[in-house]
Amino acid sequence: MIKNLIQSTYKTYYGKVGYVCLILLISFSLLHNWLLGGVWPENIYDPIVGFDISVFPHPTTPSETHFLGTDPLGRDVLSMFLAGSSPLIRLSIVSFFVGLTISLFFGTTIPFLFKKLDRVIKETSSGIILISPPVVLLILGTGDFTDVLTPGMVGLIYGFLSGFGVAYLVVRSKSLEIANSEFIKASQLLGGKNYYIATRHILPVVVPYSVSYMLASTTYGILAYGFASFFGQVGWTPNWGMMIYDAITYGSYLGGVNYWNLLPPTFGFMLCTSSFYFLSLSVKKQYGISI
Amino acid sequence: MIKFITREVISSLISIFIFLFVMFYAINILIPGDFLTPLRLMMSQEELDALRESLGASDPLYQRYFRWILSVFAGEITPGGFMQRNGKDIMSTVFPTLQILIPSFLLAFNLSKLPVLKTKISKLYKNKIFSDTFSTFLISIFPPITLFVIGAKFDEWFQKIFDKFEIIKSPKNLIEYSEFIFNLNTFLVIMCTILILTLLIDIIFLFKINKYKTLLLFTLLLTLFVNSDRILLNDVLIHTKSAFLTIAILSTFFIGEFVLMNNVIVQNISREPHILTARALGFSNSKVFNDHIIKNTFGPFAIRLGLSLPFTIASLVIVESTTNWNGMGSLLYQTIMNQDSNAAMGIFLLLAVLTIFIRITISIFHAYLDPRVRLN
Repeated sequence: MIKNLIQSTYKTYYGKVGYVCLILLISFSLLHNWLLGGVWPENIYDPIVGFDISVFPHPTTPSETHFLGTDPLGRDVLSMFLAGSSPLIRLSIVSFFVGLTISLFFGTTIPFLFKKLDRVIKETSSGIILISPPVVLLILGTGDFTDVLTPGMVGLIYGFLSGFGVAYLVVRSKSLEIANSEFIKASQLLGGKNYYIATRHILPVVVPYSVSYMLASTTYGILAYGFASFFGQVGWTPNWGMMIYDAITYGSYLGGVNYWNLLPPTFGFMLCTSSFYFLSLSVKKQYGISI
Repeated sequence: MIKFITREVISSLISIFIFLFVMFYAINILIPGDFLTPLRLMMSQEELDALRESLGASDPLYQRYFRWILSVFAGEITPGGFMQRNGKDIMSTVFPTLQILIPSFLLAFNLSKLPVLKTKISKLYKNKIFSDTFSTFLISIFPPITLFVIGAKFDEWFQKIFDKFEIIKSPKNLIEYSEFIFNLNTFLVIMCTILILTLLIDIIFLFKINKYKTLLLFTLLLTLFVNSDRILLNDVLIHTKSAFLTIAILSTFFIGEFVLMNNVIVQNISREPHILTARALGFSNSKVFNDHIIKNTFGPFAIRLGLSLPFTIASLVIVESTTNWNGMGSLLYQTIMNQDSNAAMGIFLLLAVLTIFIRITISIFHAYLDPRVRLN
């Protein structure tokens, strides 16, 4: 099913753009690991504590040693930009797969196997849908959990909230709609067990719905993480939100904003959110999903 | 219809109850300290413990939750003795939030229809690559960047307008006007501006004047004329500067989402057999569009809008705290930062009620338009 999805989405313009953006992001992350592994001296190019003492004052404009210049705290902007892609990729992947698994498992099996429990879970899900993930990140960041809020953990939280919220409700309603189809009735008449019908006949039909919703939700997860990092709620991980905050805040203290500090993280956010949103769009277009 | 509404209301009440229960536990467990913690600077630990005991702040969480729910029914949304912000402070943020939320929705909704309305019926089934790409770009713009890009320009434009029309903040004390009158006038000014803007968009891009919008605009202008005077209007206009900035950022967020929703929905509907039949029968483009496409888009759009309401609330928190607009979103951010759990719960309650109210309104409107929903 996943192979089929990838193949069909790749055929569209949106899918192609989405995959290219995703590949670019992954390349940034790998490139950063490679450069910091042996090419760049760590004390100068570390995205968090790096500082170039041979250059003064910071921030500096793009040069041969610092292709995108340095930020007001003396760190290399290119290194920070490349390093910022890795947390968002981790967050997106964890969020997507957690949400996909939860929504598909609960959305297809519960309505068939545990009909009484289904009503309870539906109401719980309707309650969870009201929980806004950025607010959860703010609450966690205010407490003593800043160090625990790794991109993976944020992805887990976001995946759970989206998967058990919006994606579950969509998958559930679609599953119940399919349950009245003729091929399901035929399968029941032939003696198919409910679990078999749910996993073999209904699951493949609702996968695109869950995939498109989780891809779109991941986009908001990226923005929410950016927001939390902008306000310093996610600890000391290299991230683009913090870069934007530093560029605007420290930049203005030092006499105006340096665009070479501000544009790379802005471009990064656009690349990252666009990749998942384009993929979501391609799934919607290919499978005729309106909602 | 009554049965439908009753079912929606009961379901929504259960959702609110579950949501508040989860948030109450989350806030009290995850945020260190409680609403009495700020008093530690003024009291000894023993005195603080005694106060905590007397106010029931040391009771098990489920007891405190049910006590809070009971106090909500009694009319106090931030109970607990010492309050950093009381219920009135929180209620006063509802109107400012609506002042930006409703115009943002209106503006985004009107603008989002343009790519579809400007496309020929025969080409509706095709992908709208430019508008889709541009919308994705709008969604992916980080709000602080939008603020940074347009903030200074906004200041400049407004200053020019204020200078040109000699609008200065009145020396007269604002307390002479009630907060409600001030907020109402602000809302009317914002709505009139947005309606004028949408009417201009209609005239420029669609070559038509919407009679309902025009009627609404004149009604609002009349209400503004009756309720306002020059001094109040000056203060209101100065106040609207940050409102328009917040609306601009929030609308940017919404427009991208709405355009993509509209494009996908209309594309799927235009492929349906009844549209092909209508075209084959030789119906005019406007007839096919108005009678067969637009009406059918409302259902999926309403469902999608209802499902994305939590994201809307998230956008409110992000955008309001970015522009420092004194609405529910920025207050929620401040209360969480200040560990004011009681006030945060009060805002969660209001946000949940607002979300549910919007959702029920959408559902009722959907049911009114689509008999299939009503009968199911």
